[in-house]
Amino acid sequence: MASKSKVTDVDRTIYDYVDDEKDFYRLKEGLTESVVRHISEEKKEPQWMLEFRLKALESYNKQDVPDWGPSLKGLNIDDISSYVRAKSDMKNNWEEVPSDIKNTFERLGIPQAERLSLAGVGAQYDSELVYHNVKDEVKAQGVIYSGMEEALVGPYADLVKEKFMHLLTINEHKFLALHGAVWSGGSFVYVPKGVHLSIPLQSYFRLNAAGAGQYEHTLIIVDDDAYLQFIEGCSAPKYNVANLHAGCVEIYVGKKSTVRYSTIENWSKNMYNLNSKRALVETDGAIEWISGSFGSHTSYLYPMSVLKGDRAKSEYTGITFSGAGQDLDTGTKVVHIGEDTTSFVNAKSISKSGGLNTFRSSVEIKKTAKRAKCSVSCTSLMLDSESRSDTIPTMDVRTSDADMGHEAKIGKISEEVIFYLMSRGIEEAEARAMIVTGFANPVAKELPLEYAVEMNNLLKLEMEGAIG
Amino acid sequence: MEKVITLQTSPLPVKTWRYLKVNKAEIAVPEKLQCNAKSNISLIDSNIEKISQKTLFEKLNPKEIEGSLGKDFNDWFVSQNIECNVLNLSSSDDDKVYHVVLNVKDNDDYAGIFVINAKENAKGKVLFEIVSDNEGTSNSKTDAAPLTEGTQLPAGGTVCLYVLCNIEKNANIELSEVQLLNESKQFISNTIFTQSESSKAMFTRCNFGSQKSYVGLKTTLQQNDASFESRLAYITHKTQFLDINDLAVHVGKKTQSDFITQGVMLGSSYKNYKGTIDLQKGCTGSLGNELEDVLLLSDDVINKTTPIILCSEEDVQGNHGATLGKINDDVLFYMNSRGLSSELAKQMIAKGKLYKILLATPNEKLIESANNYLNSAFKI
Repeated sequence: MASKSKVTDVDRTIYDYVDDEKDFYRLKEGLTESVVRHISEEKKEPQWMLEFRLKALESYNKQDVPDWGPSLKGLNIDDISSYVRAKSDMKNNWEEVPSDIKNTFERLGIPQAERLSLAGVGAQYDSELVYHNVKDEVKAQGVIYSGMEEALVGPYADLVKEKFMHLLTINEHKFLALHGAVWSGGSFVYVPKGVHLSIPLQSYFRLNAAGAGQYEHTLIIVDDDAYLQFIEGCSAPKYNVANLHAGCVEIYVGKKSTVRYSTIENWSKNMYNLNSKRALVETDGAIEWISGSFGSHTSYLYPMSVLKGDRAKSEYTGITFSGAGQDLDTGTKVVHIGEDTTSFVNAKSISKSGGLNTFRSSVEIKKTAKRAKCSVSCTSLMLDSESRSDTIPTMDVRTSDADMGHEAKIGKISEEVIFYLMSRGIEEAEARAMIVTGFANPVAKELPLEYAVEMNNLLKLEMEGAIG
Repeated sequence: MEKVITLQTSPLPVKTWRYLKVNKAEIAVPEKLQCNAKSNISLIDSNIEKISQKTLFEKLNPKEIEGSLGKDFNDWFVSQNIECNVLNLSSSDDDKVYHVVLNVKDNDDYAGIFVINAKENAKGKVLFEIVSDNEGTSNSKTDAAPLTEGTQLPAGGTVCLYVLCNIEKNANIELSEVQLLNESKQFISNTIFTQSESSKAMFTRCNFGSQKSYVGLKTTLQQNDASFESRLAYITHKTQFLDINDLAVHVGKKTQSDFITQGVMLGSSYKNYKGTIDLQKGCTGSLGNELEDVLLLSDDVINKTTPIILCSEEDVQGNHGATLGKINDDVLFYMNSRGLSSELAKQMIAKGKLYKILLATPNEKLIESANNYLNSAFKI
């Protein structure tokens, strides 16, 4: 009988550091009109936003919990505090950020990354941004990268009002309605026409408080003939109570523009990650989603591309690693509307130690999408028989003039390949780690170097300790 | 006037997004089927034993006989009190074809239960021919309105076929189902296989006729080394509606399932294909393959495909693939260069895809009838 490997969980020491909450302001748990009004008051936001929040709350109360996907029984909104903030305003100078928060982000390497390779950084701690900065040369090109609350009253206020939650609307599902009611923090990005940002912007979301929800809103508008790479990172320490992340990302991609949106999600394993992301792509535009999901207790995550303009393109490259106690339901959605639109989906997943992995996708090719092309590939690796891996893709094609291809494979690491590597003097544990790293390589190579290294380290840690 | 009820059937084994409308299908059925004895049900062999439905269902565990059309359908069907036909195949039936013809008159309903017991080491073939008494033509008198929402009952009656196959150790059976009903009818087919050690089953289906079709297949590869192969050809044209729900459950070790589905869609037709390979914990060394190839020949079709793999075992392989779309431009150009018009070339390619499966039907006359039906659909 083939020998089995035991694999250990990620060493999460750097992510599990907890700051004391004594200097924090925390709203009581539960979701009521008074909670919503309180958040709005705290933010001193325009009246239209308060009205929007109340409408979203009404929608939340009317909608039911999804009857598909992983169980949400352990999530009780009455036990979640929707708003927690440090008693400090947002800073543009790193030295002014309170020392305990600063130390947490420094452990995660955020300021170092900014110095080395980023055009701008936003750091959110619980419900509010604590730091936001953008390099002068980027500002000089007219790029706006600000906190979401700041954008509501800034020079782009009218544009924000026009676009905010118009791509992802409050009536689509219960957790978008929840987001609409209590959203806090997040970033607004505007890249003017003709500007090609060669280095990325990054937002990092840290949820420190136990039993809290984080609902940041990211609105990205990239004007025509422009380029943006945006990186999103997330982490939280582990608690014994459920935490909730219900963020929302809306991206408008202008004509001939490209947006690359990369996410490394490493939430702690008590987190319910119910995030929604969508991009609307105009003529000759392109959206590239790069997604690495390693953390969370339960995830529902399906970035969606709406290819509205002719020749618009979408690429999704994702990897999901599901370990003990995790139920990660990830994938993507694509809607082809314009002519000659193309989409490419390459999804990988690894299940181990009882982890549950589901790849879920939907590709719709509308009647108007003449000569649309789509290719979907999904590969799943099972590392033991305690785990589970499902693939649930749906294709809906409504024109004869389209090409749609789909393939999926589920299987284990080939014993023959392990044997070959061992015959070349490589130990079994290392051989397995090499194969898993190679399996994830198509995703790693799409990430910025620092993140690819971090992802490979995470994979190595997962595979470390493999024994025959 | 007969009372019509709506059944919630053909459930996807695991649910997905509700807006896609693939999690279930609704079937409108008469509360009580009006089966007319004048419809010609011929069983080309007398080796069929008749028992009452009550006697049959008393012996069986309801869960075991719940096919992929689901509980709601089963409950309704059991309430119809239909006569059951039991066919026992033994090793002496080598290569014999049991041919069952259901020739249903216009406006009649028909419901039949067929239990096929393939005894240890048995080898045999069973062919179901489901036709209207004006067989061989796809033309209904009038074009019906689109029925994609699924809650209307076609005017020409409902034909319902329920087949239970129990395949014992080392038995090898080939089951075929060719459906050429006229387009005023509704067809519901629920086929269930239970397979023992080293058994083999091949199921060939050609679903060409009827206004609305709901086709469900479930095989449980219960014991080691059992294997199953499904070959399905379908064509939908005009306003035809087709819902397919195929499911292979791998329980035994080293079991294998293969699904090959070839489809052609024309007119304003609707098709929803759901195919699931369920690799359960303990089915080590098992393999499941699933492939759907659909040719879309009209801009007004709605084609939905959901190929699912569920996997709880490490030492298995599950593969699925789907290709949906038009004929390759290079192939069309080549055929044009040989003097064939694009229209004729498309018909040839489309028919060729369906013939790959149709030709496995063990009856030449029926293949000819199906060919006539296809010509009529393509208006040749």
